[in-house]
Amino acid sequence: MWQYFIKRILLAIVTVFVVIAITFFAMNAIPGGPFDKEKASDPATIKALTERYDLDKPIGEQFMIYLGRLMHLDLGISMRNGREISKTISTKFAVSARIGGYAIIVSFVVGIALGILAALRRNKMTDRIIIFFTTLFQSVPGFVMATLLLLIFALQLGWFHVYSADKASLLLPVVSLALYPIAYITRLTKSSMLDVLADDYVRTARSKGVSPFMVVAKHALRNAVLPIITYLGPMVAYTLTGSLVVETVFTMPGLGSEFVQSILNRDYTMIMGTTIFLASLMVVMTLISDLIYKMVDPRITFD
Amino acid sequence: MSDKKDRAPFAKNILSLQVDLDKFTPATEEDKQSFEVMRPSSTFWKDGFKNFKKNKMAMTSVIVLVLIILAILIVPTFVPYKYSETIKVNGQRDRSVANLHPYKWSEKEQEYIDNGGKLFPHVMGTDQLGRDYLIRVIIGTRISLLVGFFASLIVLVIGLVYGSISGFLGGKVDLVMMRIVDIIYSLPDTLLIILLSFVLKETIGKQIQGTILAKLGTGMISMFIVFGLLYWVSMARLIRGQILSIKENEYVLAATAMGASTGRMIRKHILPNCISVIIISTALQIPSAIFTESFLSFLGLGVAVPMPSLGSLASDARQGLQTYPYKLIFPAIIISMIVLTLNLIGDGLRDAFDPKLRK
Repeated sequence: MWQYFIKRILLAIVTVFVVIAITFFAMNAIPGGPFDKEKASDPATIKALTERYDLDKPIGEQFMIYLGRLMHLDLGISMRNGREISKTISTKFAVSARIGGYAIIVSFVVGIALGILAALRRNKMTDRIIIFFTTLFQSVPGFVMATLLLLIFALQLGWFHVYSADKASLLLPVVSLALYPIAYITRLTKSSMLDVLADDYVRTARSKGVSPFMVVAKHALRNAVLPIITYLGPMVAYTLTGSLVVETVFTMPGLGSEFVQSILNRDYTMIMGTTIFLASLMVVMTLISDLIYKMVDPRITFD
Repeated sequence: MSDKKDRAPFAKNILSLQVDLDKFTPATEEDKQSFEVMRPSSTFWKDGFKNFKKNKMAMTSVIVLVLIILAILIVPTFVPYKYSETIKVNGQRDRSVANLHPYKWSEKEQEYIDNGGKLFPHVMGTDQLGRDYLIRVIIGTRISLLVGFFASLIVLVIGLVYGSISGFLGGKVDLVMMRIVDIIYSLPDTLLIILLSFVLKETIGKQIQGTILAKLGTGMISMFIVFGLLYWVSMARLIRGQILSIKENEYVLAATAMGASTGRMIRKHILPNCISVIIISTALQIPSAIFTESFLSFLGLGVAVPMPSLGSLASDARQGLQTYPYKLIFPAIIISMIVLTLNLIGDGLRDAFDPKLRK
């Protein structure tokens, strides 16, 4: 088991390093210096700026300097507004984390509940309706879903304010972020539940006269939920990329919309910082969910 | 005891001489038929398609998809508008033609019709630049489907080559190749796709100017490149796994013993046995590519203007959403229908050809 842990952690470190390297060299491949669009373009200022950011050094050395700064969580400053990127990320990420956190909780609770329901009412009307909607929600791109929800519930029906910051206005972003994972988790839970319900120990529990509720709650569910833990990593990744779309559609001041803005503004350092931050977060979450999965279910052997 | 006595002479004499032929009569046709317990012989493909045809959802999806494909092939032949051109009435520009609702006419068009002229209706209205929306949606559907198809093809080719080499050679080569796959697999693909699309847009934009590639847009090209760089890994893993298990079979051993060459082995024994897996995962790859394309279009990294794609149409529709909701709804419905049908067809193929794959 320890061998597996170490292997996974090493892989995660290599992955984060590869992400940093790709991001750094990709950004450097863009023609034109970062100060080309600067208004005060007298040669002395540019020279000073270039030296200030070590842009006159060879690229390998620049990379080492960047890595060194990353170790101190220093992502540099934004080329657009001159603010520190790590500060921008930490304030903006608070908004994204809130929506994302709610979305993750909602999708796990609702998804598992619907999945159990679909498995217990297999091939009945309830099951069919659930599966129909999950299939449907998996077929609509995230931003289309978010825009449709905005159109229907905020613009046409007027149930929600679009631009306010109260709790109720979080509902639409959270729902549009959660619909796809709900659909996915529902299907995952259903198939895992069906597998477990056919197992011997469930039959034993039933034949002992355990109430149907207890059979599901105590014997089946505990085992059926295990594979769903592995979805936590991809789920975080999905939520983070989904937040780009959802925050832009609902104009929320989160990290997602900031990232989209920095792409539109060609704010290189901001793009780099955000990519590295989000990517590392995804890698770490995937690592954690894999490790938890391994720990809670000793039957699983990874090769 | 009498049993033994009866049997004894048989052992000494030749059996055939003891048979009394009068006791036998030729079987009638009916008798013959009653012995036919075998069903007609069936091949792998026949079996699969038979199963597939039984799947009502999948068959409906095939019909819907065929209808969509027919529509995008046929409709542009009789709609007299162009996707990239503002509508002109009698060769004159018309300002009021922008942002028309479905089946409405602009003032000049109305005038023209009142004077006895005939015009093709704007079935889906027009967009903010006065272009017919139907033809834009149709062309957009074409682009989205083509993008999905070619992206999957790229994934298929690279994954197939890489996976078969890794699985076939095995040993240390396999180990190294799979570690590389592990790393690429754990990279956050969506973020890198955004990053690389952005970078490629900035870097290759100038070089391809004036070529056919420019028409497609740097966003699309970089999407293909990124698919080629990142998305093939799951396909490679799948194919490697298939090949590893096929390699264990006796018929491969037999072929090796008979001196079959590596090429022959791959062509005749290994590929035919993993073809179903390949087809199924390619079919399921198309919708994910279409999703990615629409996502990139949303971020402004997709197809180049004036070329429409379903994703860019839906994304553009966010301006003036309240007044012209149909501009979002038409592409949204089509994109969802394509993804839904492709998913259902993929699932159906999987159930029909390789039920083991089902998780």
